[in-house]
Amino acid sequence: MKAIKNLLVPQFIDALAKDMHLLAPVKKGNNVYFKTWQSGMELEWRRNSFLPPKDLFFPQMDLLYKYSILGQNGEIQELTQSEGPRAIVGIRNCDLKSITLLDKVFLSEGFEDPAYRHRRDNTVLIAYNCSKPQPACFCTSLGINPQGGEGADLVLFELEQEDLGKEEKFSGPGPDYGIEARTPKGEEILKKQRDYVHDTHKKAVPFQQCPLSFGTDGILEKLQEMFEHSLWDDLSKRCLRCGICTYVCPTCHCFDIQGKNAGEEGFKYRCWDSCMFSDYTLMAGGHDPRPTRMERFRNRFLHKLWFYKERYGEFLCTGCGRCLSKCPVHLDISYVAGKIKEAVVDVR
Amino acid sequence: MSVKTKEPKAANPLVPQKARIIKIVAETPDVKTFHVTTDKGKPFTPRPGQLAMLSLLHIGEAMFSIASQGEQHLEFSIKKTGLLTDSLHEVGEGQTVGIRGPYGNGFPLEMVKGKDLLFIAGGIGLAPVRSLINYCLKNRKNYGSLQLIYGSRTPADLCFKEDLFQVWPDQGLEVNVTVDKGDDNWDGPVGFVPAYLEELNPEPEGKIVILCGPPLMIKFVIQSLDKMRFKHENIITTLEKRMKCGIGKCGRCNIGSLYVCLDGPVFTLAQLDRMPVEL
Amino acid sequence: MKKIEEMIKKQVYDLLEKEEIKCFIGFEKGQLPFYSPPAFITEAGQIERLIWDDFCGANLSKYLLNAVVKPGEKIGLAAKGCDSRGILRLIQDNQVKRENLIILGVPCRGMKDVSNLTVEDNFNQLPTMEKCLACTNPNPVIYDFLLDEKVEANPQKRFLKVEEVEKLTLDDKYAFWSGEFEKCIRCYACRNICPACNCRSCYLEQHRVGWHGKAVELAENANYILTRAIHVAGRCIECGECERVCPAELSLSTINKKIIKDINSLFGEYNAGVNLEDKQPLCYYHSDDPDEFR
Repeated sequence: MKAIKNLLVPQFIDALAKDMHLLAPVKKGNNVYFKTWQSGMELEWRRNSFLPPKDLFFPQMDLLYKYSILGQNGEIQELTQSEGPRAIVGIRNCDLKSITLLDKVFLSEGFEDPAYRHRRDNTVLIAYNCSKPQPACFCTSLGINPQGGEGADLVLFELEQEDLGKEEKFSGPGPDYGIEARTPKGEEILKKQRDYVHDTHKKAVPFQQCPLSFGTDGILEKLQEMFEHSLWDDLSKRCLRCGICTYVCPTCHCFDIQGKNAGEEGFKYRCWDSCMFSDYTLMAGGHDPRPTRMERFRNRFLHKLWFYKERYGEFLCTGCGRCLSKCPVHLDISYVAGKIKEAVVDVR
Repeated sequence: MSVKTKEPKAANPLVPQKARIIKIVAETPDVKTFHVTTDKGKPFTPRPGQLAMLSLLHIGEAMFSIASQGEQHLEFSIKKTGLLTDSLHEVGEGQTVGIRGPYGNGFPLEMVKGKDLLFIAGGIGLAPVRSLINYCLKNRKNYGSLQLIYGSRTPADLCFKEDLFQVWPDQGLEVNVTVDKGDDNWDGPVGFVPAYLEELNPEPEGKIVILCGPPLMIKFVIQSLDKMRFKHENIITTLEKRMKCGIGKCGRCNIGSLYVCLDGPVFTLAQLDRMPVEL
Repeated sequence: MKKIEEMIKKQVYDLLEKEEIKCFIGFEKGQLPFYSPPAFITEAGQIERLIWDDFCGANLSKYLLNAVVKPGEKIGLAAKGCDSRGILRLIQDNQVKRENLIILGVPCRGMKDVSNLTVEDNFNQLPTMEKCLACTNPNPVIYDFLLDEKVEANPQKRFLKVEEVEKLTLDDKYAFWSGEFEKCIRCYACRNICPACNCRSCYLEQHRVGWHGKAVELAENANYILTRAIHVAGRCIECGECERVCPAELSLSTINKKIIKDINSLFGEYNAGVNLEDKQPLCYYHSDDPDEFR
């Protein structure tokens, strides 16, 4: 197996950054963001990023076209992405999975999203396999292997530290990282950066159990009997109707299309939208098929646990735990799934 | 973000083609029909019941059903109901608009072929139905009896008056029109659509109903159709929702796992009965 | 804490059993040991869910805005100092009626900060929330029952951050605030939790009028945050919830506290949501009000 010495990791990333736009997890305040790597930055491995990497493929705001309007006459000019090759270092398996779920939305059903396609084709994914889950993690409940590296070009993982006294463990440089290529693209990078890599017989640190879990067996079938259940009213009372869960979710992908005028010109952009917001389904004339927080809340969780699975074959959740740690009132999907499991369905 | 511009060729399905309004017909005090075309002719050739996104570039974009089409243009019949539609009612012929589409499944032409068809519409709900009526009349020999029951609030609110009282009856469509409230010049039936439907009492056997109108009318028409023993597999309706993308990605127009913009807007009542519907 | 929890349970049991309240809003144990989210209790049989511990930091008052009560029905809730000021805010703004509420007041020694925990953290030794270290009113200002002895206020950090920013040069201030506004993801959690943001329909959602665009960029973000700050000026009860709920960690309290500090120096000391009879300084004109333009 190949490995990189702990102290060589920043240099390895510096070397990668010479060839392409490199994004890596760094701390800003208390939050971790994927930022453009600059030599001397400090990597933050301990916690997952605040915003999921969906932001890098489906940004919160994406320009579509610009227009001009003069009297009755208008012109339309499409705006396209021309970003060069890039690599993202430190994507965890929950977020890797989310990218395959987003692919199903943006690259299927006869309509391909060109900006998303461009960014996907031009991005090397360098995964970071977890060994230590965070307090709100529950990826294993969704059938995700936190050390699987599925969909990545390269994977990094922490190696066991051998023959270290307790003191050294704290003051020493920290663990070395195993590195494995999963695709030809990954092989190529590994070959090019072989100076930073050595052979090792050390083992990967095994994954500790996720602190949270919930069962998904039979949940879709049960939900089909629960559309009118009182549970939705009870649970949604606590919801603040803000957009945090939808924005920090690596799989939520709803968007709005809006414009901004400046005199005779303007541009149209696509921006994230949230099914929790009051204008999300509001129609011209004032009718709203989902008028209260109950319907909005219900739709969000049914989308994750029923509708998406029925359409694309998988749950729209990867157990990253962001909704739990960022929700101001801790009304997350693991809690809701637990309540669905407990609920008594009145079968008539 | 580095962004460069490129000649529009609709590589991005969210970017509209540039089009022009070439003719505007005032149907009622708050409904106008807009004829839209591009420099290269008709923007695309939709099937009856399909949708298109129409925009005033500096105002906004919304989904409309395509009410009809000619050799060189598409027709949209639009009621003043919001920001964009109010502005559309202000513009004149020659106005540049954006258009993208066609979207949605349209009416199930195979299913209705060879059948007796009963069209039931209320108000602006006649717009999507009109595309199918025109299609059937163009291929008149492929269908059995064709009947329309149409209602609006007042005689002034009746859309497509020329079609209703001249063109369609001449081409073989039985037209039954009612209004909620008549006026001095109105000598036709007065009353709501469901009551008129029950009075006309059409035979359900071998007949397919195409239904479109305001939600309340639909609700009561369905009750009447149930009374007359129409089967839900034989009742077709077309739905509307707030839409942004038109291609099943932006999320908001879902009914259960289906997107009205992509899998609809046309559903049979039997399909809707099986779905978690929020109308 | 355990004692308070038992008292809450007993009181709520009685109130529900005697049908004096329709619903009680308190806290329950969440998915993790250090999460204590809001709970809605409607039957005496559910009182075992109620808890009181170091993690009950959320302000519950905003839930009253959407609580549906029929005439004659009452709602109960547990109120720390900050919750009670939120309640007063809503009463003063004519959003709820005092007679529809039964308030169990709980003097508060400060709640623990559970944001950004990692597995390495010991959740028995978490720091006190910043907002609690700035709290001027740890004791409930309005209540029907007081469940503990009153505590001494120690708002050591109330204007600390404001004073830091005030010392910056104009350019540095601009850089600081631009940096903050740029982080905003426009989730509107700060608005939704804020007891002073109690309009039934917010200007933000009036897209037809077009007050506000959805573009997520510095100008629109700043427009949103500053509009909200001005909207709650003179009415902010300093619960610090805007900053607690902000997932992007914007220094939102600093804006509100700067306005409070200025109001205090211009019009005299005023704490919003403490006394129902107090005249709100920005709602009254006096001929001797400071007027810099004169």
